[in-house]
Amino acid sequence: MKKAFAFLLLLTTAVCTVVACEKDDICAEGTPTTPSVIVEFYYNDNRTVAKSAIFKYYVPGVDTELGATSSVSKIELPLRTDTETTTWALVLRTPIGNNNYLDNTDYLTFNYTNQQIYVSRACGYKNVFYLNQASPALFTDSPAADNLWILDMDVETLTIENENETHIKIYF
Amino acid sequence: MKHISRSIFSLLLCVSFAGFAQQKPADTATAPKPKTERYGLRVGADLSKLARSLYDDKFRGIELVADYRLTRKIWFAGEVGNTKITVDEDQLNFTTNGSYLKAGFDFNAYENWLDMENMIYVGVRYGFSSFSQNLNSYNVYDNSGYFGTTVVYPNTEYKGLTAHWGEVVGGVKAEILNNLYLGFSVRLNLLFAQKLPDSFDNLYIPGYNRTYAGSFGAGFNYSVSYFIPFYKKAKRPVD
Repeated sequence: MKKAFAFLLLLTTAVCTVVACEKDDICAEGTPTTPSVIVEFYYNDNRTVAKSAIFKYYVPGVDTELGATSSVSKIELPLRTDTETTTWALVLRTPIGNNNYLDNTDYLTFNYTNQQIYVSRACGYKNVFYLNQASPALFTDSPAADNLWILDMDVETLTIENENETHIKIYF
Repeated sequence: MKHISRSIFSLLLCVSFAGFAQQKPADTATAPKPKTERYGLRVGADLSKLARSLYDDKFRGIELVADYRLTRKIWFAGEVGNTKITVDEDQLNFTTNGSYLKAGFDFNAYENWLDMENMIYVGVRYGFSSFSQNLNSYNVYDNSGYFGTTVVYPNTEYKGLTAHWGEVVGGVKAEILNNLYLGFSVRLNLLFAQKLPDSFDNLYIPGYNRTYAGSFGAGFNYSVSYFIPFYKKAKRPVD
């Protein structure tokens, strides 16, 4: 009978351990989820050399502006998951002394379809984007008509499912 | 909050056992040592699932329990039930609906005094469930945080899901009134096999309960059951 009590205690402890030690409570930091579009910038006349500049970028209609105060040659653009098109305003900032900039805004529009894929209980679903074959991405001048600073663009892949590769190359 | 009230309920029930287990009086002061033991079928229902169906509006479940005495210490035992539960996680919301059947053996390790018929037992079960899941909604997980959270309402039903598992059970059953037993058991589950839905997972299996990252799970039940005696057998000396 003592053995039975001991076993019962052991079993209850095991049950409590299983219940208490749930591992998948939070979506872990490194888990690949919905990717952003990785855009890299290159010289137009020397397309293997990366070109850095100061950029500001935002989606018209969304209050938040993204961008660093130092030069970068790579930026990440998230896409909307509730529709099949997103337009980003990319601003090329040319410093003209005294903390002032000359801004030139171009619009970059992506057209795609969404697909959600299950990740886990804690993370739920992630979204992958399939750019439209016909018109995956196109750049236009902003309504301010300040001329295009983007000279050319290459769409490297139509499937945006992770952030391990460059999806778009912009030449200016 | 749910866990706290469950623990308090458990504690109260355990305390009541300690009292009940010793309270059944002998028939007369000079009752001779019994020479026979009763064999029969005991049937009942799980009270915790019944109670949860009443206070938890996301849960509808019923579980019937039965055991049949084979030998002096071994019972053939089983549970059958149906569960419909809606689980609201951070990133998703789904409803699981299905039935389950568990069958196995219990071994009574308790040596009863006089003519008491209580049990402290260990046991095993083989469990099987057939169920369906409805994915009600989920949030698209987006680290960028630039846009607001997109909630998708697919309302997809995944039918024909199944699961097989084994259980190790430990519990007590005490006779509180004539032929009426109150029981409590804890279970450790080990998932053997399951049929997974496309592009989703079995996050809750009726009978097995919530699934975890590994293949272990847990459960418990509180039961009230009634003993129907069939025949008596001579009590052999303790083996």
